[in-house]
Amino acid sequence: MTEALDRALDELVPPYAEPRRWDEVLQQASVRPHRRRVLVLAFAAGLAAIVIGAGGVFHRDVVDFFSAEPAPEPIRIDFAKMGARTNMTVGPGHDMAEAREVAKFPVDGELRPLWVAPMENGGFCYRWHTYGSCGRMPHQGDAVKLGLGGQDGSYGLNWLAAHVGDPAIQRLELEYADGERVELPFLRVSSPIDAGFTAFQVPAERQREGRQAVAVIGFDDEGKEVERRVLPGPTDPRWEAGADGLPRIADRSKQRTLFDFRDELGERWTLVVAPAPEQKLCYAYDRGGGCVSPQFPATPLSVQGGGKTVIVCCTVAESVAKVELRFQDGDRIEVEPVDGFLLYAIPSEHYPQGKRLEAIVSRDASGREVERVKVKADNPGVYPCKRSEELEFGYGQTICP
Amino acid sequence: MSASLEEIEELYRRDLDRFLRVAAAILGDREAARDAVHEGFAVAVHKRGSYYGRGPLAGWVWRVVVNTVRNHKRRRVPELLELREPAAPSNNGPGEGERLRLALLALTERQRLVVFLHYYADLDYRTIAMTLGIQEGTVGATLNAARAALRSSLTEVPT
Repeated sequence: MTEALDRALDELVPPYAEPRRWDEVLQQASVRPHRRRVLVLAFAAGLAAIVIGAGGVFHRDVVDFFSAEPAPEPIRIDFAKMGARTNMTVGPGHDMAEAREVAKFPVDGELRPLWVAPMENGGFCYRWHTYGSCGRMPHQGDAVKLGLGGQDGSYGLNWLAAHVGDPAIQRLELEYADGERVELPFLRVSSPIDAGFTAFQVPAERQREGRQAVAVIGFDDEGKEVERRVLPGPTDPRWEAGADGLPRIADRSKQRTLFDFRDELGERWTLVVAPAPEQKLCYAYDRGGGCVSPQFPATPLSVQGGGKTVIVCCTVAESVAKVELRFQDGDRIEVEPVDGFLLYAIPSEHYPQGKRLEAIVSRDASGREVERVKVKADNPGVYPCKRSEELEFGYGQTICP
Repeated sequence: MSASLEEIEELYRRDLDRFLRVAAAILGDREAARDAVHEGFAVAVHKRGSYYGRGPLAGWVWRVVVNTVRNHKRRRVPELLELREPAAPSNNGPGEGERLRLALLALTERQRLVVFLHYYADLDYRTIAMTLGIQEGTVGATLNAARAALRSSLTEVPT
């Protein structure tokens, strides 16, 4: 009888043999895959914006943002979380209600939507496939001329996505190592986005040594080359993270633990460093890691939440001797970096709105202010909260305010 | 202690097909099961900080995914177990599959979930208990009662 029951249940729901799509899980959870390198190549604009006249000849499509299809709710939630994560580097949050699908680009045999959302005080964020980024608009001083992201393939890039903040760029081409070029699909999105976008999967036959993608070139409406972005070479697997979070190539015999403490909940936090070739000093802590070097100096400290504990991490300039954390309620806490690194768990008394971190002030040994970073305290999803305080987004998704 | 991304990924890669089968049984829709299970894993990834190490991680992830699937079911119009077209009418009454489907519908939700987790996911009693938030002993009793009802449905052929 048991056999009959087993057979009947088997027939009722036959087994699956499903391909694994872990990247999509991470995308849905707004976590960037860590095992495959995702490159973020954005850099500050160096040239003044060129205003395009209304009568200009444009070699691209223009998408009217407000006529585009609104993004589904889970995507709007993704944007909210992305805003929460980037609050230190991007600034203002997003108007989630205005996230829209502006185009579809193919990857791995599927058309993947490109979603774009304006930020509250200018600029935008976008998502395509497993990549997401944020940009500023041309009239904003720190707009990125051409922001590129991509993922490694078998040799060179497998795909790339880019936003173009420079209105002078009207057309994009991808250049391969053998000199051949192909035009990239390119569209502009109207106000309030005011930026161009592309996404492209590099053909498999172009992921081989000597044939790989090497540069993205931007042209103005007269065909003049106005921007050339050289793509990084193929990834050296020795630089991929090992189980301990440090690159495999890092010299673990010289590993040092700079921070090792328990937070209020008893959870242990550590930050370790180890030297690596090319004068790099690599670090790993509980939520990630990276490397610094003379070529890649320290990035500003960032606030990292989304769990039970909110931390401030990771690198500071060598000259920084003290870091002052300023809170909305006037409280100030001074913490000391160790050898250019900092890992600090914000006390839970500063989790409620009105008491949160609002600025990070770095000072050198003489007390002189080296850097001041303003922190947006009301981005959702950063600080933990009681279940009763969670905002409901539908689809069973909640986020702390 | 919180769940690491790597541990959840390992569970996903190893057991996705079992998660999908349970979800399909709950939702009655193989395609919707794919969406629900992926959303469930996304929720687990997002909330991994709320796993405190009480019980096996697999039990916690199963609980998160099953709860997400159940939330999907509440939002869906289709009824449970509409996986297949009803069997063609015959002089001998409903076929074995149809009788089982009807018998499953007659079970309580807890009984159905215990059956699905036991048969389709091959989970042990402890993990099933953690998934459903019930006592381990309750799992055995619930499963025995459900089995008895299902066996009965397969032996009693209406005339």
